[in-house]
Amino acid sequence: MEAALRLKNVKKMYLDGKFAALNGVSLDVEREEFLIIMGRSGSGKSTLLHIMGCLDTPTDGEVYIGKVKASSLSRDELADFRRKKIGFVFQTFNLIPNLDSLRNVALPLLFEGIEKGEREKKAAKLLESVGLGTKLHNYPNELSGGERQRVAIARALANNPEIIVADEPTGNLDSASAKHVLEIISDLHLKEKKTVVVVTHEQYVADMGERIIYMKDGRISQDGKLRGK
Amino acid sequence: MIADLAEYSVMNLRHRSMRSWLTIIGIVIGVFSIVVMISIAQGLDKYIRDQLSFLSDDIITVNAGSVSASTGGGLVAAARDLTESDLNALKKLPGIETGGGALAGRAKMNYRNQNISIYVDAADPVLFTEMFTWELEDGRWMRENERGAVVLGYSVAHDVFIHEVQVGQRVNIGNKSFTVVGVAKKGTALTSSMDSLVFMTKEDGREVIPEFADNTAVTEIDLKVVSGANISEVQSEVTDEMLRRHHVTEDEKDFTVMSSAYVAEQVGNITGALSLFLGGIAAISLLVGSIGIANTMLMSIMERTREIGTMKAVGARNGDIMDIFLIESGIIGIVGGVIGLVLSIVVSWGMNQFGVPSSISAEVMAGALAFSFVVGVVSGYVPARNAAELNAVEALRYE
Ligand SMILES: Nc1ncnc2c1ncn2[C@@H]1O[C@H](COP(=O)(O)OP(=O)(O)O)[C@@H](O)[C@H]1O
Ligand SMILES: [Mg+2]
Repeated sequence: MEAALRLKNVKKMYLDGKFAALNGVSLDVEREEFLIIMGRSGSGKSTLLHIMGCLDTPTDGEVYIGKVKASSLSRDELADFRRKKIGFVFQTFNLIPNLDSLRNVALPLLFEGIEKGEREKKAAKLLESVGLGTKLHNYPNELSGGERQRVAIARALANNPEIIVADEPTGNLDSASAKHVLEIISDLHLKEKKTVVVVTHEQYVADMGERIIYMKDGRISQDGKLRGK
Repeated sequence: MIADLAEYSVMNLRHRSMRSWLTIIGIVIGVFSIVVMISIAQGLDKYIRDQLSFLSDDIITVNAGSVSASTGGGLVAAARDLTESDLNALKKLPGIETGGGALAGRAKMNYRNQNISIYVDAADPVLFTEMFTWELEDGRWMRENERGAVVLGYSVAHDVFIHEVQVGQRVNIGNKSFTVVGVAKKGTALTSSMDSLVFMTKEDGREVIPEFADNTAVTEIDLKVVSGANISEVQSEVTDEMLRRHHVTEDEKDFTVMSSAYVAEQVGNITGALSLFLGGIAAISLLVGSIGIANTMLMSIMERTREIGTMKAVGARNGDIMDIFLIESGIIGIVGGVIGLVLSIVVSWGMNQFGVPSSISAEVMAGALAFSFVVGVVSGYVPARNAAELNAVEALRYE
């Protein structure tokens, strides 16, 4: 089977090539796989995730999303590709403070060129699916952390992407909210059949995945399937 | 898409409404001062033109004497008068439809035993009836070759004599008896000097003004150009003819040829320069306003760095981000422009109430709006481009 995501000897250099945030990472992520990335702070997890999500480009090496070689797309092609294929979830939610939930979720659809009525219908539906049907017109500062992260997940799903990448999605949440958010992410994998990549510090989050890789100094130090899944 | 992005821009402006309004005020002041300054210059232009409207734009005037550099710009004493034969020759030129001569000078006027020295303007009636549209409040102008008929200036009829003079009454001028056939309307600011004149035919003038008694001199020749002719071409033909007739070169010219089109052009030059000067001074305040926009946009973009990273993460193209910020600064510009324009219309109206001529043309209105939008977009351009070119990952890491 063709990989959902393939990295070939990816390097990301900083400080004029003196520092390698990623130092030769090769990795295949299967379709519908639930991959966990762990490792110490500074080990290159976010950098890896950004490159997998086509938000960042490697200094060296190749990135394929399905059949498409992302590392040779133009800037605008990359933006279009990211919008259609990838959904991002961040530790700090990154909602637009001046937009209510509905408009935050509709934002990727706006950039997709979808007309307002349809956009908001779709956004409302997504918000309902994450249990926020009653908070369509709340602004981010009128929502709890867990609610904000659910808005962010709804936004990541707006263009029905194949791949969801989440960078410490529960890092800023209390355990109850974290549980709720994890259930939703897990459902994306189990029910929606999405390819999911989650960066985390926490073992109980990692336990939900099918496969776990450990990062150390910009390299993969361990790669293994969990519980024989 | 643009409309959707605009909605997003408006929400951002509203959420920073205090700062947005302060920035807008900068543009309001700029647009307001430019429009008011230009409106004053245009008002002045319109005022002067209204005052000059008695001059039809197809008249060429020849006067004796000439403005020359050798006298430091002063009028050279008329070395030689214009004559009836100059008039007749000029009237025959191809570009000329009709024309007439005028002579002027002082004479004694007597009415009901009151003696006053008045100024007589004696001219071919065609000048009054066809070429200069001076209106009468009563009666009629003299007829061609009519003798013994006068038209009185407004104040000669109403103010100069203890008893008002009316149409049909008889007056004495020089040693000759005249019938008053008309009274002119009160002149405007520029033509009020006509109010104290007495008008009669050239033939009568030669009888009552001593200097013109025994000769064929005239002080002024007015010519009407055939319709459709190029007035400045005809003007130079007239000049050439006069040079030939007076046997002088361009440098020795002893006459002056003018046209109302030329006068209007001069007025336009002066008020145009005034517009430019006043508008230029006011433009400085718009420049300050536009720096305000650039500053506000730069601040706003810095504060929203993470937001920009997020938009890129959810698939915004660089162009989308550029558009969002350009629309934002464009809105600041155009809202400032609209408010500034409304304010200047009110102030211009107020100035007119107090007698300061001021006029805002549709072109200036449209120009002010377009200009303020352009100022907004231009001053937002560099900040917007900076925003669009932010590195997404770095923007997301920005604290
Ligand atoms: N713009 C940059 N310039 C220099 N070093 C950077 C830059 N971005 C990230 N790094 C470094 O790269 C390394 C990996 O960062 P990151 O991927 O964020 O780690 P993690 O997410 O695992 O904590 C870190 O040591 C970080 O300091
Ligand atoms: Mg990280």
